[in-house]
Amino acid sequence: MKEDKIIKHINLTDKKIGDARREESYKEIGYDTAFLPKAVDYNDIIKSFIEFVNKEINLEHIKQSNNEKTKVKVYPFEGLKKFTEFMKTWSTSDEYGDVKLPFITIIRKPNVQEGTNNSGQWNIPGFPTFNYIKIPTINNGIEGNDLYKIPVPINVDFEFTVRLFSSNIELINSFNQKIIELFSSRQFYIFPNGYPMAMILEDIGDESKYDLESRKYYVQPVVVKLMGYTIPKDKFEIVPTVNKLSVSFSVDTDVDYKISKNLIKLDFNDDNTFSSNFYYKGLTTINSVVATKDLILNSITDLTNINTYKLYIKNILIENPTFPINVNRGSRIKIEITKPYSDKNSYLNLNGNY
Amino acid sequence: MEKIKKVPITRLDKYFNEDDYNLQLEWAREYIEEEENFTVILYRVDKQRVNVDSIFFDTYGHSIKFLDPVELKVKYSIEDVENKTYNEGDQQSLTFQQTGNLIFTIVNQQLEELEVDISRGDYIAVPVNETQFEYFEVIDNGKKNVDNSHTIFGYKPAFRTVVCVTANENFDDN
Repeated sequence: MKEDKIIKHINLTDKKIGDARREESYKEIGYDTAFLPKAVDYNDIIKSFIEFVNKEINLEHIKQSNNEKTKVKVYPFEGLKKFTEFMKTWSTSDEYGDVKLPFITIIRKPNVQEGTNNSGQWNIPGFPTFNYIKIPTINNGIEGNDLYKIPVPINVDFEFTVRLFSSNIELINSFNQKIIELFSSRQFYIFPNGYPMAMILEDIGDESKYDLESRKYYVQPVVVKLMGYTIPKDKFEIVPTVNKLSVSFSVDTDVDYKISKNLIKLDFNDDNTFSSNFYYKGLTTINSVVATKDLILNSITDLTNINTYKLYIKNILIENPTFPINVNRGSRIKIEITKPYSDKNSYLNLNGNY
Repeated sequence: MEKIKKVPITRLDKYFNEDDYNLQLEWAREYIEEEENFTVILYRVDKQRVNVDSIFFDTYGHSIKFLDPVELKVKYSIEDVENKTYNEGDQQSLTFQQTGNLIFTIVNQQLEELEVDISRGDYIAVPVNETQFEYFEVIDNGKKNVDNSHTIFGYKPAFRTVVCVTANENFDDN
């Protein structure tokens, strides 16, 4: 073996552990997102596994002819379309269109199973969500908080088979050694979208072609179980929480306020006449009073800041009122006005007999 | 430029030589291309121009790119249509008819003259009648034709046998 065994690169930064690692992991999950952590689905997990094979196994072989080092090509076989197979391999094929040794394939069992990551425990029914972060908001000038909630991850188990095809026993040894090293502490983690997911080594097999009367080459399949989980993006929730109440007070200093619509009353005189002062404060245009006796309306006088008025008895409009008008006891007399100056107060006097 | 070594073929020299080979080839081509005149259309996938997904190596929509189609004169057969079912379990149901494989033989010289090659993944269209085309995908390009049956009297390889499986007309074997 001519490989240089001198370590050329030393990692001078310690890996974070404990709380520092948790904080780092939290940042990884939330990196490049708008407050909510990233969702994770099958494609993210598969992509991450392919990256794992490319980066962590990362086999190199030396060409016998020119001692040139080349990376062993990895062909992930996701999907069974023939077209995709040809698209993967055409650039590295020989003159007959055949794939050249050595190479690595990744095959995934399409029947993904319910996960065992949570020791086989089931999720809480009904897809409940749990508090993740509170984000301050301002709605129409009112300060409040939105509560960002995330769902419980759904556990899934993937089974990948990584196979090395080679006629070189040294390459097979390197592959095997790397696999054993990676899984020496039982688990190896990959991080799809920043979420840690454990993988365990299920089996290392041998499918080599030893037949005397056929082409001979080694095939070493490694079965890896990935105990992952998905977080569906449609299960995230943003819930508006209690906002601060906006309470405002206003103090009216207008002395004329003593006369308001509630204070409009009928003033009965001894000579069987009555009068009532209708006062329209500010923007008010409608006022009313209830007849406490049987009345005869004779006139509406002393119109101040009033263009027109409409008289209603029992909420029925009296078109072009012609006085006298009889009003029964208990009826509501309502007068609606239009003002030339809408911000100024208006007055009128209702007169009659009882 | 790499120098190509040429070795003279001297086998069968007493009763068969290059001239005889060329004559046999000419007769074969005349029979296939003029008398039988079975035409298929080769759609070569322009693999460099096809955009594929990084994980699944699949294309989006109808984004398979093709080079110019080429008419080929071949000797072909389409295997029997089979009646199959999608549900293969206890209760077989949802039948479909699967077109048999297309197997054709082509003279190498024709491809050399047209300056085209047939690769795995290319598509073949067969006009089965005036209005209907049947589409196939090449799974065996037959390029390694060193076996005796693809030679003329064992003198030199002259033919290729190409095997194709059915593909629907959108070139999508979903």
